[in-house]
Parts: sequence; structure tokens; C-alpha cells
Amino acid sequence: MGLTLTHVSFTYQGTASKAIDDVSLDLQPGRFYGVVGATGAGKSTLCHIFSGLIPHFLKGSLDGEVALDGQPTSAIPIDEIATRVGYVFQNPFDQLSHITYRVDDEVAFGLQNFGLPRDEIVARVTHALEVLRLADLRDRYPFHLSGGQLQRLAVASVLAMSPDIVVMDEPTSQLDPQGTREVFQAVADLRASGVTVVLVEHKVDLLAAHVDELIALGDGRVVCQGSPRAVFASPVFGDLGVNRPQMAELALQLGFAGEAEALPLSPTELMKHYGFEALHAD
Amino acid sequence: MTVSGTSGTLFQAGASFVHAAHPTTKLLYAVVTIACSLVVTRLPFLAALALSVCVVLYLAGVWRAFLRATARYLVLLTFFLLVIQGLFREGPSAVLLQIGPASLKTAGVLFAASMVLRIFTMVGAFLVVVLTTHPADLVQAIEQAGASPRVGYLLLATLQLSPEMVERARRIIDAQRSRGLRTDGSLVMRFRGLVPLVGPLFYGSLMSVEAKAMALTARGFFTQRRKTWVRTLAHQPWEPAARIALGAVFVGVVVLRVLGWA
Amino acid sequence: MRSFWDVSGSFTPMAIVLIPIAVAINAGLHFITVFLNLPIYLDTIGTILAAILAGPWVAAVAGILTNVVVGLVTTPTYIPYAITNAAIGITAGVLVYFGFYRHWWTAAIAGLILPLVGTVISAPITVVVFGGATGAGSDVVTAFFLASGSKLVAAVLKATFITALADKMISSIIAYAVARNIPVSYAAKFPGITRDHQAPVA
Repeated sequence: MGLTLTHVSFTYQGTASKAIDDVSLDLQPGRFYGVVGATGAGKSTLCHIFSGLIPHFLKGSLDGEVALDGQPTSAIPIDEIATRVGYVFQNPFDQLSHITYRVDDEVAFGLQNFGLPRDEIVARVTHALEVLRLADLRDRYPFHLSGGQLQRLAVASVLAMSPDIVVMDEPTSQLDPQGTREVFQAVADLRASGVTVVLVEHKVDLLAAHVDELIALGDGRVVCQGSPRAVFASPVFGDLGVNRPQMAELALQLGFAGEAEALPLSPTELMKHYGFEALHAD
Repeated sequence: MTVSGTSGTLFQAGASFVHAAHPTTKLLYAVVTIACSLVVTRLPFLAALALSVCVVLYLAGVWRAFLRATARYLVLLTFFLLVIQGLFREGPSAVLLQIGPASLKTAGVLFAASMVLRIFTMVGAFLVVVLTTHPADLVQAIEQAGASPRVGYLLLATLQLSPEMVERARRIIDAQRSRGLRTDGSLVMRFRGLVPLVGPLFYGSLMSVEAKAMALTARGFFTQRRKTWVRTLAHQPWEPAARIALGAVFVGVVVLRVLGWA
Repeated sequence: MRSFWDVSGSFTPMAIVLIPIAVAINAGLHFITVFLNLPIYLDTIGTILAAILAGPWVAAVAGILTNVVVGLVTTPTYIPYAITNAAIGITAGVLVYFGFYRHWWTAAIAGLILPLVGTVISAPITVVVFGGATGAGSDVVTAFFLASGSKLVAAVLKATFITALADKMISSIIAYAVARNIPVSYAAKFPGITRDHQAPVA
């Protein structure tokens, strides 16, 4: 069950090189996956494969097998995939419909398109707005919201479809620190409701603190995969052009040589590792 | 539940019976009124139609908004029609007014008057709908009447994106001006000023088409399933009678015209 | 590649999303010309871009919608001229089909053809619907031509043509320049139509 990729490669129409090259992954239900990699490493392509936009919307040659709950995604209509895999785009301005005038109508947009019963739409919208802490803003015009609120609205409109998996492609890249915190809180809320989350993100400190498993991409391949500590401690990680969390970087610079699972990721852990007791509880 | 928020149109919220009416009834009103104005030819009938539109605008409480939107235009139009038709209309006619070498002809002035009344009626009837109906309600009504959701998308997305683009243009102009763009120089200079403004306006939005299309796809917009509506558009108890009355008025006007009385 | 007459096949998701953006580009540019006090409108550049990327039928809808929306937010008298903008969109699509937007100078020639079509369609609308006046600046020009002895239809024709000529030529060249800078791989995602089965932008 879940989403499985077996030796998957993809080349966009009109390009010569593979955007994704022989990737095999098994996304387990309920886990939180982080995806890191330099620009052009294939992160967005991977998201498009997860969400069925490849091969249903974006054209190119797809090899290998992508299976959603055991069924190849190429054989499931995109509408059907959309109810099971939610997609949060990088820029909420692109994701939101631009045809609704209220926050709650925007959340209801997808549900209306799928023809759900009216009462169920109302219940799901209310629930999604509560989870994303947007209930007080439900009658506002969407594009009068702040950046963080707008992205939370995008997440709410995905959550309302009650997908099993939510894929998020750099949802905080356009946001200030406050907006970023709001979105990470939203992701934590999603997780609490049992959803599998795949988050592409370059803010590695935040990723390190939240994800169960990290997938590091380089040139379209999975370079390393595992717990955040294992991935950041991996010697090949350094060649990806992706930053490590500051404290992990510091520890490695200082000659950290212990077990990967002991790699410090926060200041407290770093101090503990070098034998300083925390001066204050945190 | 009602819609609020920036509508992007001339819509004025209100509590009149016109506001409360179902959008399709209002559309029928506009279509009948505009059709009548095209059917009748005699001045008193055109005047009566124009007056009826004024009454509806007044009862709807959007009389001021109507003038704000159209007064300048209607005055200009009246003036130019009087000049063009009054002075230059061909054919023999009595002279109404002699100003130096120019003679204002009665036939031309009468023609201009009927033209102005007809345009006023059409603009007014159309604005009754626009001023009292939120665009989202209008689109929901036409979709529920069988129009494709794509038509609704085109209309509403355009209404939302256009002011956004104008706002972006304003910000780009401000940014360029702080870097020394002149907006008051010679024609050539102003044309040159155009160049740095145009690029930034286009690329971002053209390049966002793909993401927007993917998002709509992922949100089921292009699905063949039957759509449901959370909001319901209410029908007032008097609307069936009003629709029949509108139909009767139109038939009556056509009959009068055929008999040569209108 | 699609046939020129494939109307329904033109309205792919990409094209549906492109249309409001083309109209918004028209609106944004028109605002800039007003702000810079330029004597032209530039409000067909989005329509021409729609023609280059997605063919005549999509451009026609963008043209119609431009006037409908301007009519909805300002005065409804723009709405009858939606027919004009539809014709300009279709004409631009035909010109794209015949490769007019491959060089800047052929785009300039296209810019001479567009106002011809526009004027031929607009003038009768002005005469029939508005009795010769539109309430816009070209009425002054109309009055001048009438005073110098022209017939009404001919006068309206000349007035709208002179104001449209400069506008459409500049618009056409700008649309060409913008289209050139769109990556070919991206342009290929739109349902463009060309006679010689290549990407509409080369």
C-alpha cells in the first residue's frame, strides 16, 4: 500500500536528459518524508510523478512503474488520483482558483467540482478551516490574505479533499519566517490527522526537526535516503550542493566521528555531544 | 450565505428587491428591455422605456452608482451625436437652429434623441444586472442554467486577474520611476519608458499558465463529473409572475411595432 | 499537429488558463499607456500573444472577453465592439498560421493588416449601434472628416483607422518580441497552430 516507485525514469518532451533517473522509492502510509536537492536535481519532477501530473498532464517518456496502492498511476484517471494524492504548489497564487470570492468557497472549489453532497462539503470545509486555523477568516477575499495565510488556504483546500498523501513542492519558498512557521505548523497538523506528507524544502533546519525520513536527490537520482541524521552525516551528501543544518555542519567541521544517529541537529544536542550540560531546560 | 469581497466589477451590495431577485430573472429583464429598445422606433416609446429603466435603477438603490459609471460617457455621447447627426445628417429637413454657417437640422436632432434614449436604455438595463448581482452569483446562475464551468472560469478569472495585473503594472511603474523613469518627457522618451515596463509584466504571468492549469486539473476542474453547489441562489415568490409579465411586455411591444404604432 | 479548423481541440487546460491572463495583459498594458500619456492603447498585445501561442479561436475568445470585462467594470458600450476584437483575434491567428510572427518586419506588416480588419468591423458597429458617435476621442476626428465633406460611414472608417494603425503596428511588434523570448519547449505546451508544423515560435 502507499505509493511505490520502481526503477522510474522520466524525460520531458523536447529535452534530451533524464529529469528523474532510475528512482525507486516506497512511501509508507502516515510517514513524513522530506526531499532535498539542488536546483534541477529533479525534486519538482518527482512531485509531479507522485501526484499523477506525470504522465497525465506533463508530456514526456516515463519508464518504470509508479503504483498507487498497488495500481499503476498511468492507469488511474487524474481526477481519481487527485482525490487520493493532494498537491500543494510552490506559489499559492498559482494554486488558488482565482474564481472564488471567499476563503470557504475556495476550500469548497475542488469538492464542488467532484460533485460531493452539499452537507459533506460544508462539513469538510469547516473541518479543514479549523485544522489550518482559518475559521476566523472564512468570509475574507482570498487575495487579501497574507502570504502565510494564503499558503495555509492552499493546504486547507487540499486537506478538504481528504487525500491519503499530500505532496508539497517548496511551499515556503515565497514566504517570510512568520509564514514559514505557519506552514510548518500546518504540516504538523496534517500529519496529526494521519496523512502521508512529502515535503520538498530547502530550509533544512526545519526539515531536520520534523521529518521521519529524508530523501536526497542529485542529478535525478536518489543519492541517499534515511533518517535526517543519517542523510546529513552521509559523506555523499556534501557533494549535492545542499546545506546541512547549521549545527550538523558545525559538528562535522569540528570532526564529528560518532554514529550517524548521534549527529547533533540543534544547539542543545551539539552542547550535549561535547559534554556541556544544557544551561537551561528547553 | 452570501458572497462578499472585492468583486472586480461595479457590483453594489444592497437589500432591494432587485438585489434579492434570482440572476436569471434579472438577465431576462435586461434582455427584454434591450430587445424592446431595438424593436420600438417612436420617440415617446423610447422615452417611456428609458424612464422605466430609471425607475428600476432608483428602486434598486443603485441610481448614483449608475451615474458615476456612465454620466461622463452619456454626456459626451449625447453631445457628439447631436453635433454629428444634427449638423451632418443628409436629406431635406427643417432647420431647428442656425449658428453662423452651421445649421442644426430637426430630423438629425430627433434621430440623435432616439439614439441617445436607446443607448441609455440598453446601458441602464445592462447595469441593473451588473450593479445588483455579484459576479459569482451571476456565474453560478448561468452555470446552473447549463453553461460550461469553463465559461464561468473565463469570466471570473478575468475579473480577478485584470485588476491584479493593473496593480502589478502600477508597482512596476513606481519602481521604475524611483530609478529615474520619466513619465512627463517627450513622446519618444515616454515610448522608451515603455520598454522596461513591458517585460516584467509579461513573463511571470505567461510562465505561470502551466502551474495554474496543473492546479485546476489537480482540483478536479476538468472532470466530467456533475458539479454540486454549496451556495443556493434563492428565487423570490414574485419572480414567476415577473417573468411572465416581462414576456407579455415583449410580445405586446412587438405587436405594437407590427401594427405600426410603436 | 492540429488542423486550423479544430476549434474545440484548441481549448485545452493551458489555453483556458491563458485566456484570462491574455486579457489581464491587455488591461495592464492599457493602464501603462494611460499612465505614460501615450496616444495608443496596446490593449491587443495579449490577444495577439494568445493567437501566437494557442491559435485563432483562443485569441478570438480573449478578444471578446477583453471587451466584455471592460464593459462590466467601466461602461457597457464597449461590449458591441467585442465582435471587432474577436475578428482581430481570428485574423492574428491566421497571420500566425501563415508565419507572419517569425520576423519583426513581417510582424509589422501583420500590424498593418489587423487595423484594416478592425476598422471594417468597428465602423458599422459605431454607425448602427451608436449613430456614428462612441463618446471617445476619435469622435473629434469624425466630426472633422464630416465637416470636410465625407459621408458618415467613410468618416467613421477613416477616424478609427488612423487611431488604430499606429497602435496595432506597435502592438504587433511588441507581441512578436515577447513571443520570441518564450522558450520553445514551453510554447509547445500550448495548442498552437502553424501551417508548416513547427512550433509557433521559432
